[in-house]
Amino acid sequence: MKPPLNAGQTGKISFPLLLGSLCILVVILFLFSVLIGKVMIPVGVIHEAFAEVDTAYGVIIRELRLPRAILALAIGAALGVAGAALQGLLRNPLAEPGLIGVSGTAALGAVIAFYSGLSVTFSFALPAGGMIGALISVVLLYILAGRDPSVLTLILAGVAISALAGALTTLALNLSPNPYAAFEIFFWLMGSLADRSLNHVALAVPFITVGVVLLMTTGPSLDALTLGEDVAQSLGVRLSGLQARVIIGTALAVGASVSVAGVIGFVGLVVPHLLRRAVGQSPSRLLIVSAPGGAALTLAADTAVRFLTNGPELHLGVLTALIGAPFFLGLVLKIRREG
Amino acid sequence: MARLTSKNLSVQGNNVVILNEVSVTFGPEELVGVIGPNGAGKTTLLKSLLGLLKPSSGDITLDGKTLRSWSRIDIAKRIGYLAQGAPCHWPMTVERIVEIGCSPHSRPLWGVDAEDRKIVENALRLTGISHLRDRIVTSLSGGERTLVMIARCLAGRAEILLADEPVTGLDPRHQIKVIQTLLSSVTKNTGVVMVLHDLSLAARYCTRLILIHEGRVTAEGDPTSVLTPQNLSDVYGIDASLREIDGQALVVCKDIRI
Repeated sequence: MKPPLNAGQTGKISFPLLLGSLCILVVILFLFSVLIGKVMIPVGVIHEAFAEVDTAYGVIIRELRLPRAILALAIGAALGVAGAALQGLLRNPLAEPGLIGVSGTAALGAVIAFYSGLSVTFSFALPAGGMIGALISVVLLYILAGRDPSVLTLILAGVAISALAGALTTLALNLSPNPYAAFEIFFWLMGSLADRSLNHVALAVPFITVGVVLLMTTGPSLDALTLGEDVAQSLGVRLSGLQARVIIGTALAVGASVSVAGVIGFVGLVVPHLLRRAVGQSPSRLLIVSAPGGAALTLAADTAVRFLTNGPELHLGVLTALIGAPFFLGLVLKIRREG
Repeated sequence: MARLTSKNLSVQGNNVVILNEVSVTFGPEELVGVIGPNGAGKTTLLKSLLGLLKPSSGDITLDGKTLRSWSRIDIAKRIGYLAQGAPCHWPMTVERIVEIGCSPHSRPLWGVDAEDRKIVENALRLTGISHLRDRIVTSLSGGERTLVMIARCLAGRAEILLADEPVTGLDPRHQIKVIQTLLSSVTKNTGVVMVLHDLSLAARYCTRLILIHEGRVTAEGDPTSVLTPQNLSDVYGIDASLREIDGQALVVCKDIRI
């Protein structure tokens, strides 16, 4: 890839300033997500959410808006960081949890947990299913494409894994004895944060947090990996440890996210791509800013879906795919041009 | 002062013997040239010495202690590695790449501290690439890129630098610039080991040469004792000899031997 000579000049915005601005943006969008919707909530009544006596606003905030905003924040950060970490490990800007089949396999895991009834008797079966699914796909992907940074191998491996996960998911839908259950799974797969409760937050957020923290620790090693596996090792990187941290971190973060929200694609592609130049292409810095970046994008998209349609709300996953797919196409064209 | 030694080192890959009973030692105050035909095992030797490949027999010691008992990070503090082709997967700036070189000693999540900054500046200055600091590494020429990677190695402050074909594919000016830069980093406490194919450059700049052929050390010593017509004929299959023109060593190759 040959970028223009001055590609690094755009990296002149100072890193703390960029990180600070993104964090402030996240705080603002979080507030918007809590206040804005079919019911507009005045800023002055936020405290009612924690009042002794239930008020209409208070209940809406606590039961509907707050879980949704927290999940958007956590899941957006998880997807952004997982995308940046996978891209760093595979040294490939097209690595994205949704695109390469990680989200799809996590969904399959969650569908199996749901379908088998395990998630009814044992609520942690849902995130567990998602995380096991994600783990299997990341390991598979790494075996297929890990040592070869070529775009083609990665995408082919991703297509194969996505196809397999998709086939097994539709098999589960096909065999579903109850058409309503199938319908429910189908809609859930589209990815949404609507009508989630604080239970969902409790199920997913702890795993997401552990996963994101684990991924964050890989920054310096991913920087060294820029210079190839041999040089990275000569700089003191334990390759097996790095791989394990990225794989387990991604499985925890993406698996838990998908299990409560379905498949929200392209966040892990769009966010690192938009921020990569601003951090001077450095994998470690990209990892850090992709957390608030992913959170901001997901919060904004999840607030937007409330207004984009009259009647039934647009699914968040549908919106991110509508934004992300043309974006992906543009990225492919760009990589082709630069050869 | 680090001393890196291999004793009867053998390495196998896919059931083929790549290195066979190789015993060499590297230390400070010298620029050692490792020469030999393509596929002789030169790169394998460097990677084994870094602990990246597992020996099938024999041992490697660093400061008298077997390399297996060293942690990756402690090896990194003592031995630097300049990979063939100076790979770089992301279009990062020169300065940022050199900063990565500091990582064996300090690993902050972002930025570098004042001491590292000084070390990076020094490395940029010693390699003569301070003016390239904001340029994108992947947009530089092969020669400039090699100098960036040398600066990156200098920032790592290793005592022994293993350089795999640093001058292959470079124009004559950059070949000499790269070798002079490596030579200037040889001090009382540091040494450089360099794989190269240009025998004239090897004769001119290296204090010691190691000639590898089919996985074995065929000859070792100062350039005149290694680059004999007999050795060149046996190992490379060429009719060649070491001459001196205007006080500079030159290997003249007349023909190939069948």
